[in-house]
Amino acid sequence: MSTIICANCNSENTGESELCQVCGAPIQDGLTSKSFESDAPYSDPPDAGARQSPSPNPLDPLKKSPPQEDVAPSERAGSTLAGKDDLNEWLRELPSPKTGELAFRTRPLDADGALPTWLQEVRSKADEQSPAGDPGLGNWRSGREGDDVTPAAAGETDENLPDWVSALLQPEEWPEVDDPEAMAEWFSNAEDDDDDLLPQTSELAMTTPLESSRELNGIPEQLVGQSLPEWLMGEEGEDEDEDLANFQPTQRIPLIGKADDQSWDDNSLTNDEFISEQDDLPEYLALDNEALAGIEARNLGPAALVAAGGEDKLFWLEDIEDQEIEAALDEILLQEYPRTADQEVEDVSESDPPEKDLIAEGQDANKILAETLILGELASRDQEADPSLDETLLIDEPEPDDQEIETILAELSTAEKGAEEQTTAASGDWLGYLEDAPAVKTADSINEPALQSDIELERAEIPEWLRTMDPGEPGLSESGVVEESRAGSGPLAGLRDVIPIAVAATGAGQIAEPAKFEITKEQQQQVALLRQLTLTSPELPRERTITGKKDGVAIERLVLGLLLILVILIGWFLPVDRWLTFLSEWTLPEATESAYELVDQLGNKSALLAFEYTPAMAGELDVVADSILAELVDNNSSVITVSQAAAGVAMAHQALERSEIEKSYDLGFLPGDAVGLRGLGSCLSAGGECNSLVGLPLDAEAALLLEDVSLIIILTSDRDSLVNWIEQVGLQTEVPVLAGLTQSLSPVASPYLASEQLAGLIEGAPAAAIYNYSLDGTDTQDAQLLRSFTLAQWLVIAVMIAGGLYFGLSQRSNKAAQDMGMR
Amino acid sequence: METLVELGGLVVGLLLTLFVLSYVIGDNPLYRLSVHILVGVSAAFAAIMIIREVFAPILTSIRGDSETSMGVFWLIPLTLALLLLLKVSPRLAWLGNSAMASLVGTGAAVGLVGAVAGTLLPQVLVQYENRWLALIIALLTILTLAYFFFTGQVGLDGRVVMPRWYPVTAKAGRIVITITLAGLFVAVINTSLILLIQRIAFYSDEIARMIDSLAS
Repeated sequence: MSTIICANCNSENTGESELCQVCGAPIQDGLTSKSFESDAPYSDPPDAGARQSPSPNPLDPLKKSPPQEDVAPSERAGSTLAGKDDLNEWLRELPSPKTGELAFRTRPLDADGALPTWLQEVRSKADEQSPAGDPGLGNWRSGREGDDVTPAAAGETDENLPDWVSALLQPEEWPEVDDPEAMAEWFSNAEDDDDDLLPQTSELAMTTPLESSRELNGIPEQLVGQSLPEWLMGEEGEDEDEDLANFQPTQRIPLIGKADDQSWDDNSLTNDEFISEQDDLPEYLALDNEALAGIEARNLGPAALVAAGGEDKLFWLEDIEDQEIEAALDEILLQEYPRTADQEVEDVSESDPPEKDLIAEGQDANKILAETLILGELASRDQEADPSLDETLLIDEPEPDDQEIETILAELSTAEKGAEEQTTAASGDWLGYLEDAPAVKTADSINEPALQSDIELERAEIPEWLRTMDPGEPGLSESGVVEESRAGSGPLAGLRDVIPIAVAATGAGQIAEPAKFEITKEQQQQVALLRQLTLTSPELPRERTITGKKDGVAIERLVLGLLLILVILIGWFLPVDRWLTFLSEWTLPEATESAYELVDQLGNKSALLAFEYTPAMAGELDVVADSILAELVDNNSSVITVSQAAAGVAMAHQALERSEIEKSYDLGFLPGDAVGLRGLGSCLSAGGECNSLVGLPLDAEAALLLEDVSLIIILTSDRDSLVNWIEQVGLQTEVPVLAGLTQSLSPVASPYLASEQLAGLIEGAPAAAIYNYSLDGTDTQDAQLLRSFTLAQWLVIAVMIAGGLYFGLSQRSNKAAQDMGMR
Repeated sequence: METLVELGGLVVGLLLTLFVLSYVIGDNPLYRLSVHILVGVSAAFAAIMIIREVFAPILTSIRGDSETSMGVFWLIPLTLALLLLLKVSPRLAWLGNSAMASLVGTGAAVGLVGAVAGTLLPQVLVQYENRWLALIIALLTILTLAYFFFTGQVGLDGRVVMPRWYPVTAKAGRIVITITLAGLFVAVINTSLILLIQRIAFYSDEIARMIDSLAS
């Protein structure tokens, strides 16, 4: 029995074996070849046998369910040599891996030998590394040209391979895959040799979305088997061919349960070849050095690198943000536990094109979730897991199929499922699943320094002043780890996340003490006033006080009235002016003198007398009227009387009767106030052509008298009447106007006297009495009137002064009494 | 007989005068009675006087001018007067609005012309012999008018802010007005004293005359 060395794991297999007993890789005609899976840019790999074995690694997120007729590695690597049409043709030629037929036939080069630029660069680089004019390479290449079979298929040996290829296929460098220790040692040596070519392992870690996987670890295990959401299902398989080309072929995620640096380093050695050729990769496959540098700066831990794992670079996870993963998880949660969040699902599907790309790669979402969950579970259980598990996972061969993945998932999740599902099912609250998140998160934060660094970075963005205001979340430690707290006593004993009583009581204790009561000055004054009102106010009925005041006022008025009457009687009947000479020193006002001069100068002409007063004012104006009429009688003047007051007509008749005037004419009542007076003025200014007055016809005598009017005398006690006469009559005629007024109206007539609109003014009975007294000088009633009037005025003055003094003194005494009461 | 009538009239007049003077001790029914009698008699006397002095001549004129067109002319003022009488009834008061409007409008127009031409312009154009007196009168007049300046600006706080000159001028104008009212009040007191003296003198003379006549 011949043995065949597996090109993949370098293990010996029987010659009849079609698949490697260790790694399961197909064995082609006893040829061994080191897999160039990682060297995807090579579109024409020398060994195609290794490529025909699709990786059944359940953790490979790039793969959907492991198809028996998978696409060629070159196609998945995004080779530009094989178009879509070629791929279909290639797929038709792809044999089943179990049949041992050729995995694929590489596409022959074009006749002109045109190659893509990147491929030309790779070849030129390979030529530089190999000796110039290497016959082996030339032979190999020449042998390849014109033949579409791979060298392996053609039965070429290592001697025909180029040196650089042969160097990679040195059998002595491959340890026994059955010996994990040897494998790890080999990896370490290889790492030391390729340090210059290898990027930092931490940089590689960033090629995988471990952060996302960390988020996925928080998914309840019950949700692992959930189907994809609709939006993901719609994207599935649509752009499969195109998107597959953007990913590395046959990526494998090692199932490493121990997430430490050493384990990762060991595993990462499987990528040495791939990494060594980073510079030769096309741009879309090569890692961006700057990005790698940035990733390195983020100081991701080895745990993240574990997820990145070896030769399988989860580039697809690079573009996935944590939030997108969370959205996908929410979608799954919503499907399992429907709620009103359909809109959120739509938003996620619209705003997450990277996830669409992810699904477009033909990956099974269930598998993705399962793989990431396995990572999280393994990471969280590294302390408890059986060391043999690490070894088993490190070997990674044979790669499990879907059934095995499900088995692993079931085994890993059984432990936590039991208790948590019981609790969740019992409560019936789907939120119970979310309670697992803190625990998983805690494990991540402990075992994955990258996560801690991320948390630290995020926290560093919070200003200090804001952090100082953070009261802290109950049960959450400073590192963000949720500490499970259970009430140990009280009615809530046994319940989790119970707020300690001390916290609740702290708020009550923080109530500020009320400010000390301070009595303001205003309050003190109010208190003093209230005391004064309650203690010192007299208890006298208010009504009685008012009555007393009324009585006192009435008595005072009565006394004053009687005193005034007494004084008037004394002045009327007693010749007091003999003893009180100042009472007889009366002087005639100038305006009054002018008025009487005009009356004296009237001669036999007519005078218009307007009696505009009522009997109420007859006591004063009758004296004036009598005095004027007496002068008119003496001058033999004619008198025309008129009045706009009803009682004035009677007053005119009485005055005419008392005066015994011979020539008089009574026009009577003149209605219309100002309008009537304007008509009268028009008639006076008509020059004897006035035949009617206010619509009423004038007789001939009246017309002649009006035409002869040379003086207008207004006897009134009403301001309007005086003004109307001056404005309406005096304005239309040039006849002088005299005014015999009451003393109360004399101030109103003074301006008209100053403007010479009034030729003379007789200010009441005193002025007329003085004029009369000046004429004869006898002790007549005019003298009695003046004495009484003068005495009454003096009395009024005395009363006013006495009253003012009494009021002032009484007010002062009252104030003094109030001050005493206040004190 | 004549003496008794005169004596009766004198007694009634004296009582009514005392009733009015009773107001010195406060409002009382006697005072009100006397006031009501005064108002009633005055109104009745005015009505009689209007009928006698206004309507009777108009009717006489219409009757005398019946043959001419002048009688028709009086229909317009008489109709307006009748419409004014309808103001007594609330339902028909609107019919007197036109008459009232013509009456007030005509009176206001005439009064305005008279006020401007007969009072305002002459008082503005008056020339006093004493210039200082004229200046003082003008100043006091301005101060009095300034007191009635009620226009201000509303501040941000909603309070009306008067101009800065207003407080001083308004206070001065208030003083001028107070002095003027005091002068008018003194004049009224003088008139009242004269009226009281005339009443006292009248009754004293009449009583003395009555006593003389009774004694003789």
